[in-house]
Amino acid sequence: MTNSGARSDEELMILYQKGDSLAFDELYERHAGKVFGYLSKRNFSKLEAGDLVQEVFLKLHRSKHLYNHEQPFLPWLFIIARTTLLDFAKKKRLTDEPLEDHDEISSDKDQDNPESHEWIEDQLQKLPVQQKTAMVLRFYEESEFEEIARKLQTSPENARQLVSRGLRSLKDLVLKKKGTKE
Amino acid sequence: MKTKQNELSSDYKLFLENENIPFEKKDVLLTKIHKRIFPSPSRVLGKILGVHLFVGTLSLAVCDQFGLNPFGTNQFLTSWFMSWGHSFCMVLCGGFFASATFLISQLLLSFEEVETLQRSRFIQIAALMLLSLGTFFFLGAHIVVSLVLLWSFGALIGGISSILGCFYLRRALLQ
Repeated sequence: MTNSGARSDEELMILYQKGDSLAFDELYERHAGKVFGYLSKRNFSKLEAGDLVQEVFLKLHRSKHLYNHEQPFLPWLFIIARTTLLDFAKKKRLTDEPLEDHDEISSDKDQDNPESHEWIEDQLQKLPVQQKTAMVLRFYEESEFEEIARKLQTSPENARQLVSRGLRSLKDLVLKKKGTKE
Repeated sequence: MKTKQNELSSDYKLFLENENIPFEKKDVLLTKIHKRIFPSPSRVLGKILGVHLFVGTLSLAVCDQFGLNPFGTNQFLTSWFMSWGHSFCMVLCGGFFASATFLISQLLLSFEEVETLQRSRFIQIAALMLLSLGTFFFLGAHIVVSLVLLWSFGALIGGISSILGCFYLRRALLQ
């Protein structure tokens, strides 16, 4: 039992990893609205969005041991929410039409297309955790290298290298995939 | 690739924009999620004891100590365990009895229940041991402290290793 009110998300995750259910409640309280808002803008009914929020937090629970508390929590939660969204869309075989405004959810064909967001995101998931987080911070949050370095508790040079290596790996994967397709 | 990065970046911004939007049933959802990811240890114990009743009864078929011999054979697991000596037989018996239950219970338990089982493993194993020893006593077994200690040691080791092994295996399979 802890007073989790004044703690950061990252500190709450440490407590949650140790089995503190109150820390989970606090994380839910802070971010369920954010996840719900993100999902409900994707043309889902409120009921579906509610089910998806449940799914996102269940996934968060099942992968909590993979979370590294030295890295920021929100990009990690975002990746889980987005993956859940894509999985759900795949299952429902949603059409692109209602989602065009938000550039989201494409067909299954895109999952195999190295030009698509989904394919790149799948590959992003395969990068080492540090590289992945640096990439998310750089390209999703548009953070400066100093900011990334501070969040990852490393030097700006190393942050720059992490992003550079991540980009190189993604580029190699795209070229390899294109080569396979041709 | 730059365009895609911008698009992904705007998607992340969209995610961040939703500052704590209140939604209907937020609390109801939390209760549902809670029930699912933090099942009560007593509920898990109930399931374990149910499985143990079944597995324990079955295991008497491979042990001639209580005079049951449903397969009409003289090949018992006890004979093999006894070839290692009486003390070791007790340890192996305890280990087999507990681990068989926890291994078979994996067929019924969700990952979250296995997680709860792992977190409360000492209480769960102790409850299982007490129930088993009580049943042995009522079935007419002579309770000798030194043998009970050996049996309990085996059950503890078998129980802990099977619970932890199953927990880590299932967690790895989830990813």
